[in-house]
Amino acid sequence: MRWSLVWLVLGAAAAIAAPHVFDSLTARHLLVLIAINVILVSSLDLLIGGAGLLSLGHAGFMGVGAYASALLVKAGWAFPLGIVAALVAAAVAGLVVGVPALRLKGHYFSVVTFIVGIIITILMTNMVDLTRGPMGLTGIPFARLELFGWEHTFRTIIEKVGYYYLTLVFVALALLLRWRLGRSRFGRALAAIKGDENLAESVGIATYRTKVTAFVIAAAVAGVAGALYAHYAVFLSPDSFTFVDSFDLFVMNLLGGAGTVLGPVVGPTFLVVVSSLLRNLSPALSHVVYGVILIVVIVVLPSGIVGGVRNVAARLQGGAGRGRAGDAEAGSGSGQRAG
Amino acid sequence: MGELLRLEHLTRNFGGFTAVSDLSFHVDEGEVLGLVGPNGAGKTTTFNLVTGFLKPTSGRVVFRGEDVTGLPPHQLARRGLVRTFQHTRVFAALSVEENVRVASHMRERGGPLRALFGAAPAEREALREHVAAVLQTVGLSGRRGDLAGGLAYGEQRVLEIALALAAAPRLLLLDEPFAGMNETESSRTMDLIHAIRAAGTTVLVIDHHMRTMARGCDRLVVVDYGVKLAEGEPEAVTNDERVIRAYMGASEELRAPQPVRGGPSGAGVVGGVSTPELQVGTADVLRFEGVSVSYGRVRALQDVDLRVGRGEIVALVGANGAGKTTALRAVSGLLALGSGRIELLGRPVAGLGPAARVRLGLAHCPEGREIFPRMSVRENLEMGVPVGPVDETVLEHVYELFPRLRERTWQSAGSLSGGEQQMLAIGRALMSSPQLLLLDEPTLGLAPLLAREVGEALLRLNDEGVSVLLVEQNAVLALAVAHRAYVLENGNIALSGPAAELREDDAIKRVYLGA
Repeated sequence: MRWSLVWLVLGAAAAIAAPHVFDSLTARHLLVLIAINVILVSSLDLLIGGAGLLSLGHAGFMGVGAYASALLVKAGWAFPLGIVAALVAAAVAGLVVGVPALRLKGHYFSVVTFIVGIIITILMTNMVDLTRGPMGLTGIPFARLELFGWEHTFRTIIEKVGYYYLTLVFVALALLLRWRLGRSRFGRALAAIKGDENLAESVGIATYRTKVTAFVIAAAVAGVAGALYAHYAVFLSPDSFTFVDSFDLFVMNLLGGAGTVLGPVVGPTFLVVVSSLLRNLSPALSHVVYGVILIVVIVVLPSGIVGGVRNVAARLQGGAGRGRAGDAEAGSGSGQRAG
Repeated sequence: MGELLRLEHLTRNFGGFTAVSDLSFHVDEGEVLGLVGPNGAGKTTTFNLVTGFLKPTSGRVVFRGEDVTGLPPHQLARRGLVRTFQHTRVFAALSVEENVRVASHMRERGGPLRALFGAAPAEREALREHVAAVLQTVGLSGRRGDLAGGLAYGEQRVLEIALALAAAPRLLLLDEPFAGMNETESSRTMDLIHAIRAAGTTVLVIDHHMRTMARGCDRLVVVDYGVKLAEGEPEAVTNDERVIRAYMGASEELRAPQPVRGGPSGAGVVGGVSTPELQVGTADVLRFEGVSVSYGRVRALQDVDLRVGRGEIVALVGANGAGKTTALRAVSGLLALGSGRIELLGRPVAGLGPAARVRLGLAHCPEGREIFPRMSVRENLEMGVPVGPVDETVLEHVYELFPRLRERTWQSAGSLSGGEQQMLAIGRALMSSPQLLLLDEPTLGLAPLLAREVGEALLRLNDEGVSVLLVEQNAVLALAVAHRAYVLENGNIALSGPAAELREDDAIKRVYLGA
């Protein structure tokens, strides 16, 4: 407990110091992107790490939030209200998708979320009157905050540090939410669903309702991340929320370590940094090398970077007592209903 | 003591198959009621109907005076009706303590405020005490920090009961809690069941282990083919003629097998196609020497010696979980041996994969009639030829053996009846012209008449020189068609000898019924 407090303080200090250590405009840009991705991945981890629900359309909910806030703030709403609107719009989208999709299990659920992600992109492209479609939405106002007479506009094109800190506040909230939910009765119910849905049902857990709730929460948080992105980039196009982006989030989650506290921080940081370094090195080869790195990491660290580090640490302490979760899961059978 | 649960004319169809038929019985508050019956009798289906995992085709389930038919499992659990599962289900990736905490879902209060800011210390303390008490009851306190997936099999089964107890049931339904347990573990589990009852929980337990059930239950309900056969005190039920028949199987007057023609000269001949000669000097097509097999920590076979002579039908009988199927899987190379050796057609098989063993002259017809339901009968049969073109004479011969298959050549296999599917599965195994046929439960779930037909086909097959190792729960049928038999009990050979002698032996009744 004391150690995790130390890590928390160190982590927060590093996050606060980062834009001053890496003070180029590019580095600061990457820091904002990492922060937004951490929010996205921590919400996705509620589904993947928390409940074992492999959702492959998460960028779609981010897009819903992004367009909701961008359009409303453009129409004159205040920026904080735009954030709230993004949250509500994405939550509603999550409910509309989750209610039918979660009737399905396993791969079927994943395939449906994948398709829903594509449909959301298609809608954004084709609802030209609202979104301006493939031309992209321009003229999105910068975020503007008014607090007790203090007032600030985050002109993110030239000044990134302020917006980075604003995003960092939401990162802290998202991580706190993920951590608290994981330790609540709700989180334990999700863990039960991940472990064995029939068994969960038999000890009185309303599995379907619990899954829908988790799906709505995850979508809502992704919507907030979308709003933060909209007022950072001040330009939106459907290209930013495709299934490729959903897949990237999925990879970040697995890479960092699904179901771990730090995984949603480590995954996006690692991936954003590595892919940008590679692009500087050789744009042509970057995708190939990126793929190879992913394969290596996933083969060597099946439980993600955080899970891998934890296993090594446990082995160094001589504590071979707790086996890897993956090994143990092989034992539990899948549902056989008919007698 | 009032009535806690009542089943009224419960019926469930799967397609054209009636798994549970007009079943009625009740459970009184404070009793341990046993629901017993041979494999495939409809016990687990009944359980699934009562606990909401299946909806009945007709009939009602009444729990504490309320009609609960068709409610989802979690709502039944909230009313106090909690079950365990036949195949061990625990949350393998969580620790023992976390398992019980998760299962205490209904004891815990939820809501967004508790989720965000945590429960009050008093609530958390109460939950901790509840979890500790449950672990204490089942005797797993010492393992609370261990990963559930790493527990021994017996401990996992106990943990499963703990999960059900954590949900604080009024009525606990246990699905085959003794499966895969040895005598000591079974009786310890029965003690636990009695302790649970003493603490105020009514128990409904299903199992086919008649011996343990008769010893530990207050009353028994016996089902077979989804129909109630008998109900009452264990003593009366185990002496009921119909119950004995259901367990031992009915004998429908099959002729005895022809005496084995001696000597290594008779090479296997199926459909006029001769199969390779045996190596000189070996009259056995199969030989086990000190074979042991384990699944994790469960010993399935222990130091088993066994032989099948050329031209023999050898039956391997015994209650469920005795190790019969394991023995067959060891022969066909689907399982690795713990120790000992197996000789197949005069050759040690160590290092040979399943495909190589088939090429030696082995065919394995697994339990459960594994056919390709979307393919036609003929396509299914063609799948039985491991390499090369289909030999029409062999096909013709299979059709002679099973005329029903010829009539249905182009029908899809999925539309066949259970008995026809079984014939198809055997027919497919014969397409490789085997010298030794392994048959796993060929009459499981078949009506007596069809079972008899399968038995007759087996005898005709044997007349042609194919050796058979037959695994059967239906001991009467198996002992009627076999030359010799081995009786397996908990992975050991308890009895062996000529089938005709074993049939008269009372000891075999003990193995099945514990009478």
